[in-house]
Amino acid sequence: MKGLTKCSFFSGFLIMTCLIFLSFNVYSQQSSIMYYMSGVPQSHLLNPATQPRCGFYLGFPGVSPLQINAENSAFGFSDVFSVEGDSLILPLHPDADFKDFYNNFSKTNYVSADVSSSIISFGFRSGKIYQSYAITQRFFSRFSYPRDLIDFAYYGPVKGKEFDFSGFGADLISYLEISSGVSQKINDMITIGYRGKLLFGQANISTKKTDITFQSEDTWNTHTEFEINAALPGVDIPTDANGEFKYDDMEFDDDIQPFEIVSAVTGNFGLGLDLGAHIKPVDKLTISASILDLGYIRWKSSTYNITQNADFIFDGVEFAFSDTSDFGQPLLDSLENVFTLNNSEIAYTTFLPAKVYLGLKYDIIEQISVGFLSRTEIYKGNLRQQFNLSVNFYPLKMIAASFNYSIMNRTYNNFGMGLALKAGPFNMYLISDNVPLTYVREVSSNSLIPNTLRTVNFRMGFNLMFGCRNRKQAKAFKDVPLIY
Amino acid sequence: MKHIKRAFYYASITAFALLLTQSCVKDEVDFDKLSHQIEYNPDLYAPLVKGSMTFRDFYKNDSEDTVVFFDGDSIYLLFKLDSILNLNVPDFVDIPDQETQNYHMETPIDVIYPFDDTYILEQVEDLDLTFESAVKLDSVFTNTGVLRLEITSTYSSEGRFELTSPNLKLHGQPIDTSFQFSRASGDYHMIHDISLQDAALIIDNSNPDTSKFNVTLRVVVEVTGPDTIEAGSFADINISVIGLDDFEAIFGDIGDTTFTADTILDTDLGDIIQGLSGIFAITNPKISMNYKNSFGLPIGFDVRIKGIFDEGDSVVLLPGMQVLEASPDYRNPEVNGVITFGRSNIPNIDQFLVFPPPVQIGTNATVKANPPGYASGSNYVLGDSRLDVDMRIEVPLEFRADLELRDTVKIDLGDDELTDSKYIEFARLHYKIRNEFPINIDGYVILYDSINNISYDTIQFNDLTDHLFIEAAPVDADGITMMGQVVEIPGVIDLSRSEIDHLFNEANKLIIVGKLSSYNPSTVSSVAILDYYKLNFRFNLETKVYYRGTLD
Repeated sequence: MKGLTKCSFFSGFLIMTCLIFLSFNVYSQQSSIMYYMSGVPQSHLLNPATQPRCGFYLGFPGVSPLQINAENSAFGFSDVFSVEGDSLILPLHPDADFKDFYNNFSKTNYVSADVSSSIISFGFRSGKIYQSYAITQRFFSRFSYPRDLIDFAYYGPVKGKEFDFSGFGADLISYLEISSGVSQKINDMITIGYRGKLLFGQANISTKKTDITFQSEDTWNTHTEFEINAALPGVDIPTDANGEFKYDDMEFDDDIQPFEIVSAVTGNFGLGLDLGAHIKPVDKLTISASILDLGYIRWKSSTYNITQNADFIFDGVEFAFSDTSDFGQPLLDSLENVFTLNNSEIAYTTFLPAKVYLGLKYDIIEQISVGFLSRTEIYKGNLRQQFNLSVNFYPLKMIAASFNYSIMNRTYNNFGMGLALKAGPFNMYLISDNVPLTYVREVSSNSLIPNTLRTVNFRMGFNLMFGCRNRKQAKAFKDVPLIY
Repeated sequence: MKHIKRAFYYASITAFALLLTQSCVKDEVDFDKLSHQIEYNPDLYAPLVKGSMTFRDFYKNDSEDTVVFFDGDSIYLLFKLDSILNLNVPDFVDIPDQETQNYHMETPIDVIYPFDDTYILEQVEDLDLTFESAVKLDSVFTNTGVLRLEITSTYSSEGRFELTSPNLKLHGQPIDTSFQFSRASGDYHMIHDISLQDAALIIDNSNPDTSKFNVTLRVVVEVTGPDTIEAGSFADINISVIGLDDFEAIFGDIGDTTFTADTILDTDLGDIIQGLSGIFAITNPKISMNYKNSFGLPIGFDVRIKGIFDEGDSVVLLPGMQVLEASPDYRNPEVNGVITFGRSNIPNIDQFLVFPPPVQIGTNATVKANPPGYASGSNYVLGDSRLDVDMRIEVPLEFRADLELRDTVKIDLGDDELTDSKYIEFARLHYKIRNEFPINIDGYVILYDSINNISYDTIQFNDLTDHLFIEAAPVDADGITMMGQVVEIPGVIDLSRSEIDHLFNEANKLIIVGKLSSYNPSTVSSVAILDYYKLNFRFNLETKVYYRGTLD
């Protein structure tokens, strides 16, 4: 990509203004910026010990908050399209360096999307205790693929090369969460909190294990081992006399009755727990920690378990001189026999992706604070680490903003932003962990395209907040950096 | 302190503004100018095909002219040549129409009848039969023969002529037939044909010099008295037997008839062996005559075989007369037999079955009935008796070979191949072959432009030095493969970018040079191809694609 060609304050301002209303995020399901925006009522979602500023809040149904994420972890627009002379070229163009494109891929790469929406959310203070309640619909999907897939497709099955396709996986989960949280201020220095969750699973596809390798030598040696669990209400996969799934006869019930939905949901029950704490060892310095989503869902309804453990060595198509009429058929028969799928319909358990937050915040002046946050996600034995540095501004009583720099997903140019407004009891906020700063203009459509964008995030919230002017509480929360 | 805070506040606002200004449009793109050009150069190393073959797998008996048969572990090739003799009854046995024989019956004196009465004049006669070629038959069965009677009578009264014979049977019964004759003028003349359908003629051979059967002739006149049969009244009867050659069956001595047939067979090997040169020597070849005989008599078969070679040389084989088998049971007359000629009865057979083989094979076959020393006198021939003789050359797969094939073929590659070939940087066919056959196969292909007389490249069947494409298995003193010494031989056929280009774009012909030799032909006199030999092979393809084109 060519260097900077146009930069203007005006265009930048316009773009940034737009992004206040449509912000972008990388990876995280819960915005890390919100962690320190404790004046945003839903900030306690990231640390149950966090107490909202106001005595009572009520979230607008469906949008308190509403979060939509979509992620392509490997590459953005500028990784695929680049300008060469007068042309727009692709990574496979003779003048492009495919290696640059290739280097964007991690060993395992993801395409994911998640949506989260609170149906009901409210909270209130009672003395030193703040209680919160919410009913939230969550949906999460992720398809993962290995970098070796790119290797295989571009470089081909070179002799002596072993490809590891173990990164293949598909995960989908949809569940309803009913949560109740309590935060209690122990003393001036310590605040603790917890939140319990009842989880009602609606649908799930979970790739429990994939171990797929392909080795190109004198023979092609393939090993496939995977285990996929699914709970799919409304999907019927019949079995044959041998108990094998008949995928060709799979049927989708598009007329699911309400009792069937209730039966499916209540049949897939789970529990979750969030824990958090704030410690204020000295004035203006706050140390905090939280553990979120310690939980599971036991899937019992409409479950399907598909496993395979196969090794196949391909050393050529068998050619029988005595009968050439079915050339290749023995190979197809062997493949069918070797790569058999084992089926069952037993219950299974999935665990929520647990997150660990460790934070450090310092209030520089009354209108500005800075914070450091470490976020670690633990999911299926893998760790995904994220670091954030944030600065919170409170230039006006009606407006608060938070700016954030993140290191995540092997990228180091992530700038986030949060903006909150409060007019009377009405509170609104928009947050993103990663605001793209550079764009390209598509000439034909005259549209702007974030050129390094890999994920799209939309997080917003509308609340009614009361009890924010209580003097006693205001004093107690004088360090809490947001509108009141 | 308040000033410091204010300064920090404004500094932060300034930083925010700077952040906004960094938000910028870095470039312009135009999807209408999206280049569809791509370069794609993947490598491929893939197992392609594997297999194992025996001679039995490789060779199918789908040709009418060549048959493979197995005897234990040994394998034989049987080249069917065309029929060299087809003998039918008319070619071999001829029963001529018999000469007419005359019989005169006359009233010697006047015979006076005062009252009604019957006058009878009776004679018993021999009807002679004449055959050729020393044929002496005991019986003839026919459906189409005719017994012809020509009767002339001067008797003026009403009467009849009667013929009976115990030796001539119709439908199983001795013949007893009569004809009315009556003419007031006394000049009766008539020809009567008696059909010999389902007839059997029993021949009296009691006199070794003649064949005959007897008949009783009778003239019967119904006299109305008073009347007189005048002396000198007579009846002349001419009798002939005709149409016996189309008999159903004959029994007896068929004689010593002979038949000769000449045949010229094209071996049609010209196209096959064109371009082949070198040594090919067969061990213990044989020529066999397969026959199917339904004549019920000893038949001597004498054949003279002449091999005519491309340059006009010839070899004559004289195996001598052989006697063909015959069935003693006329109800199951067909006999299938084989006469085999080898080195024992044709010493010069090796001169005949040489490489290159004769382009034509001529045969002169003579068959003789009841050859000397085999005559029995108890022969039979049915109406549909026949003798068919086919000639076959039986070649056991034991040989010594050192052959080279050189051929030129035109290349006619379609447009699709031309288009696709330019994207191939190189192609290598890696293979491993374990060959239990004691046969070497090797060769190369020359890419040739016949218009400009340019030989571009020589593509070896195996680019690895010191290795042939397929290497012969070592053999013991009997020419049998020593299995313990058979090893897997690697090889590669390498096509470079320029060779691919020449193959698809420049050359219009391929000069193919192939070599086939038995194991160490200079010292090993013969190797045997046995039924259990195997050739195991595995081919892998290594290639690199070099695609520069468009996504379209």
